Amino acid sequence: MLVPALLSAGGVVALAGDEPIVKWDQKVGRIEQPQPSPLALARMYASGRRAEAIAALDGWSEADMKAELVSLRSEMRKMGGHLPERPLRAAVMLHTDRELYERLQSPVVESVRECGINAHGGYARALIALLVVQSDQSREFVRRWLTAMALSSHWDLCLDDVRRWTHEGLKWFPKDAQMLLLQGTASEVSAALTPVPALFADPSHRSEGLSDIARRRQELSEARRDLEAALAVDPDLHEARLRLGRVLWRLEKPQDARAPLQTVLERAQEPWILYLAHLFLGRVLEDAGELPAATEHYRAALAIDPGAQAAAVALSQALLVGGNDGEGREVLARALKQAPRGQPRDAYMSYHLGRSNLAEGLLDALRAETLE
Amino acid sequence: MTAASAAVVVAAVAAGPAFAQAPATPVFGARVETVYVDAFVTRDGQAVRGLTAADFELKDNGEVQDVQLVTSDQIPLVSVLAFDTSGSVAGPKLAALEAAGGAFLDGLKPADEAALITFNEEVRWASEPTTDKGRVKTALGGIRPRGGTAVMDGLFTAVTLPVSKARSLVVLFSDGEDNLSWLSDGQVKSVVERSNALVHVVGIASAAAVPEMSNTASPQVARSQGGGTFQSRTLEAPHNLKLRQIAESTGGRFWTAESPDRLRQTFAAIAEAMSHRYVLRYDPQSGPRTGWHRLELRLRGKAGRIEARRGYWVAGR
Repeated sequence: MLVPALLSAGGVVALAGDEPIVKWDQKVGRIEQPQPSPLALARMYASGRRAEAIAALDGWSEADMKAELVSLRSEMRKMGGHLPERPLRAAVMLHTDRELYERLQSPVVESVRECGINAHGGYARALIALLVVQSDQSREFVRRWLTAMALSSHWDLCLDDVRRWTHEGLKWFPKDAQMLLLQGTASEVSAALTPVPALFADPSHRSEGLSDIARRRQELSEARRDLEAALAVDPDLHEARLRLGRVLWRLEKPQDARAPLQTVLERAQEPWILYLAHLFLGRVLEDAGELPAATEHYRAALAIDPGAQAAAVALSQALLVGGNDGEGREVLARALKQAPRGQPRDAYMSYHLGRSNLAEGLLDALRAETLE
Repeated sequence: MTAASAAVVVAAVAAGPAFAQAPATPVFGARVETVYVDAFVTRDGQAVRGLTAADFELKDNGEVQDVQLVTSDQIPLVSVLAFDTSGSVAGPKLAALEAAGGAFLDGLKPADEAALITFNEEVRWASEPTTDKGRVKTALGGIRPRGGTAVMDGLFTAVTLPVSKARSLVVLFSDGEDNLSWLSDGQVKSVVERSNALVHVVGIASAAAVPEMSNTASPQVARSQGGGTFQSRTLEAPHNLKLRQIAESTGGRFWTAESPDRLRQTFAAIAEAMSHRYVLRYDPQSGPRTGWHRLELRLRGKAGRIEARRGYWVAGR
């Protein structure tokens, strides 16, 4: 049984068990509305009354959650390292949903959501440290939860948050290939979205430009490290190899980039991975001046996904540069006739989003497992 | 506000009026014989009018050419508006952009064609080239911003697709960084330089931009042409710098609107500038040589700033 804290720090007075928490407001000298206890809320959540439970967390402060955590750890010690797993998982998902709810309320500037993990996400992260040691089943729950949280942050392009989740995940699961892939992807995308500074534009800002370049390179190197580590664990993780090829190209190692991309083309089955491998290898070859070979890879990419605009643009440009402007224009015109494309998207357009579209499905599965 | 821009039209001479044969293709054949260069001349920020062919000295790969002046009215424009319709354009910015596009279309001549290409993560023909400006205005009203930004792919498309015997003008608007293009700025610049398109880019001032830089050529261009009073180069966002360099390589420029409210004025100024251009025609003295042709254009004995294309490309057969 979860035992909420009986602490008075910060003006909080809590009662044990399922009794409501009562807050004493020291400023006005009166007792505030009673709050349901964490256990009651977790049970409410597990019974399917999710929205109600999430809304009931309105009055919870960070201090409340810290106090709860102290209490839970103490209880765990008393029980020889054990805690009831189902309510603990329900509590994790309850605070996860509150975290996601609050993320939706955060300001959106120019279509970009404000990033950062709030107090409920932090609390859920603290709870999983208690949960992961309970059983293999809970350990698997934690692994999937961390994956889902990283994917969810990636969906919002909160890439630093992704790396916070994967960093936590890799502490518990250092050989998890998917976690390594997620972390490498976050670093790759972060670097790719960093504009390359124009150093010559203003000498007085050269140091800023150099620091941006160094950071970008550092992120690419980290991506390379993580992707190689993922492949060391699972050599059949084709997405990791595809991304490794692209990262090596970004690191200006085009010769090194060829091998992983060619291996993907030999071994992978998934059309979207083959499509991107052709596209990326084409670019490597084009940069090396091997225009006919590059053009063939662009043609192959377009053959896999005839509606893909990125492949059409790549092929069109290569044809124009090669002097075949008639076909170059034709390819481009045909691609534009197919717009707007709708679903499924051109895999190149969603490359920066990785597999983050899987986040909601994973979270739903975890929620379902907490239902009683 | 200064008004200056330029473009070159390279025409394969065949039957009919030479100007009507200007190919829209980015790579020109080795049989290119007649070259068209159009230029804008300004003095103290105002268009200089009344110049004759004798007022210009044009060098093609260092050789002075015998130029003639062609009436610009004889050459209808194909104007392509290439608009960023990513999520960041939503709201008042979109309304201002629609009005600005409308003002530009109003400034075109009846024979001129106009088109609208939109780009977010996907590039679309919102309206294919037509002399019916009303149709393009309707398409402007149908813009629904969403998604990311593929500026370079959008520019590539705007420069590549229009098929017309006339020269093309591309006016690209973007308010942010490119995050989804397949093509790099270098790849697009290479295609743009080989095309016969004149590219103008309109952006909205960011916090890093400094007002006195607005609506001017880059300091490098200004200094090389004896104009400008720039004290120092301000920090320019990398994506704007890339677009500026591409525009200037065609003889166009990067226009900075101080705010969305100023977009209309900026677009109207571009249309106005197009109506004061000089179109120069010549047959290269040394014949049609393949490869890059460097162009140098200056005024003889008169003051003024010229903006014109820096060269053109003739492909081998």
